[in-house]
Amino acid sequence: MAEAKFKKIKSKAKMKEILADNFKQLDEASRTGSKPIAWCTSVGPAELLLSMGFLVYYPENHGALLGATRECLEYIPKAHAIGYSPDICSYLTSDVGAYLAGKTPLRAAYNMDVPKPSVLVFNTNQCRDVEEWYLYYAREWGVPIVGVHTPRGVTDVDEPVIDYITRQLENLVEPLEKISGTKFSYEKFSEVVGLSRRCTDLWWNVLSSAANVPSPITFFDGTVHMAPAVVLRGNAIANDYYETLLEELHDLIEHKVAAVDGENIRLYWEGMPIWGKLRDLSTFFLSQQTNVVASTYCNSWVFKAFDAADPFRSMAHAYTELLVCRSEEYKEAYIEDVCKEFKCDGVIFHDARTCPNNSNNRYGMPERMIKNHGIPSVVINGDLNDLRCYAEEQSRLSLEAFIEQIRQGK
Amino acid sequence: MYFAGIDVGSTFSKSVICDEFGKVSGRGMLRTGVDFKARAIEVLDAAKADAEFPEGAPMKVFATGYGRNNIEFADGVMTEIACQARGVFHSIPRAQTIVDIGGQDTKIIFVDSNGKLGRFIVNRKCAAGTGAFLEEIAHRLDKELSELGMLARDGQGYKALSSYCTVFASSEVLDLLRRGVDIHDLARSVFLSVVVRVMELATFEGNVTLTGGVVANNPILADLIKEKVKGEVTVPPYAQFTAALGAAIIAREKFGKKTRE
Repeated sequence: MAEAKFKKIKSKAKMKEILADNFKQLDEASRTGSKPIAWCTSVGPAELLLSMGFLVYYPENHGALLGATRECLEYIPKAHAIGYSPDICSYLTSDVGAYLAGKTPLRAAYNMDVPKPSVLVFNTNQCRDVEEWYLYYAREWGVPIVGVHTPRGVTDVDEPVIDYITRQLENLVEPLEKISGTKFSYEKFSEVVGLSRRCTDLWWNVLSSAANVPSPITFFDGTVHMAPAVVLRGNAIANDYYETLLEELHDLIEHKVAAVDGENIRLYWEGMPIWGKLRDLSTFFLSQQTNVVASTYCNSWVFKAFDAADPFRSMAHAYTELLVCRSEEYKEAYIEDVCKEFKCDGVIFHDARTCPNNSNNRYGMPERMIKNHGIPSVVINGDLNDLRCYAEEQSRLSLEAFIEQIRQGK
Repeated sequence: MYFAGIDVGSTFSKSVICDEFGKVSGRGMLRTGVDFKARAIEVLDAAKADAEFPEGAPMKVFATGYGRNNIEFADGVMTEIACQARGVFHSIPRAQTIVDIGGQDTKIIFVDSNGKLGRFIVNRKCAAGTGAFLEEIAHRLDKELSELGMLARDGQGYKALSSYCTVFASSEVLDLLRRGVDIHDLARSVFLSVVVRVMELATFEGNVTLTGGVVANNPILADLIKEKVKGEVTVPPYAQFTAALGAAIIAREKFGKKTRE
């Protein structure tokens, strides 16, 4: 049988260009001090920072790059050796380890070093570890650190919760003005939130294209093409990119071009990607005529609450309604809804050893999914970056058997 | 037409040959070693010899187990989870929980009353609850694994081995020895710790069928599991061959099934 082939998405070349340009600007600002740079957690208050003239750098993007290139495997132990546990976030240990080693994949990709921050800005909506991560650098470099503490286990993002987060966001303005030397402008902030909202709508349209049967994209494509939504949201250039990508996807849908030839099983990926195994896994699913068409991960950069008319409160809402900080009850309903919308046959739960907040199998969810909704699932043990935690053979066996199980029921 | 299943497992390779009616005519088993493909050929030859297989008779082969994708001459491939379910249901047609304790991993597989594969759980990246754990402890105690099983049969007490980690559990065993715990009780505790780890993987439903080489060679495990579960606990004959049997049955279903009139 001829080996199944990956379908290339042509727009990717444009994405590479805009990302390279973004990193070029960061590098120049870092070297010359021409603009202040804020390090920001990936679902942190980027719009506020952009509106105040900061260039924004996302260390989690660096973490993913360290994972995808597998360079992290050399650096993670260096962070352990200075007291950072193997059980905490491996983005953190990858990034700190790379810093300790004086290495970065940004050199090979963009011929630059990690840009130096003027301020470190976090939101704990994802986890406590992002704050600890930034505290390391705050201590190391004496850089100011500010942030937002978001409640966990939220069922309803109601007014008291939004009030609490809004106050914290508003309180960031004064210290950020001092650091950037730029006076806060409500109009500018509103404009950036509007751009992010547009980005969200376009990114969601990209992801929704996978609801078509057959789907023109895979979850693995999503982990690549989400980059502008992560690192360039709030910039018009990200929106231009997604317009281009959507045109291509509409064309593929019109011509019924499947990302996975012979697609006959559709799955949902719950949890973090296994960055160092994306290629292996996507090849595997391709060989099984199975497409992973939806994921919690790619959906995490969809912020439908953004509203340019009410930027602070809508931002508080948007960054608190993420799945990662919601209750089990909400998560269960959400996954069921997405499975229905994307016509998924089952769910893969990735139990990432160092990312408990993004491992939603740990409180009985797989059992509830089958019992309450008739949705079968499988759990694989792995990690986002630390491949020492990835049980390759067990995972491969479980995935293959899961596909056999679904196929048997069709 | 004959049908063969080859299960290239992490420790042993097994093969089963059956005829068009699903009747088993031969079995073979060899240590897997390092060359999966060569061992698959040899273990199939062993089953052919056992079956007094007619020279040149047509045969279809399904491969399963860790080395399944290395068996290029196979006509089909299925996971050992699907094959285990099919093989056990062929011998014991009922809804059941299959507990397969292998050399490197342990699986819990749920099968419904129609033989349909349901949920399954594979152990985490950890040797606790597998044959590898028992082998390590036996080695630490300077015993053969079969000898450890014999000692356990005469044990009465239970000293909990609390560690998830095989190496740490091994240290605990040495500590218990140092404190003068009876070797029979200690051996029983080692097997019980495997049972505890296996039962942590999932809640068993209904009747339980135990498979795999570790169970086949250590009857104490079935005795200990019987003490802990409500349903009937069965160890099928040839418990090490059930996945290979399942592969042979799947080959038969795919390529030419006959039923006796």
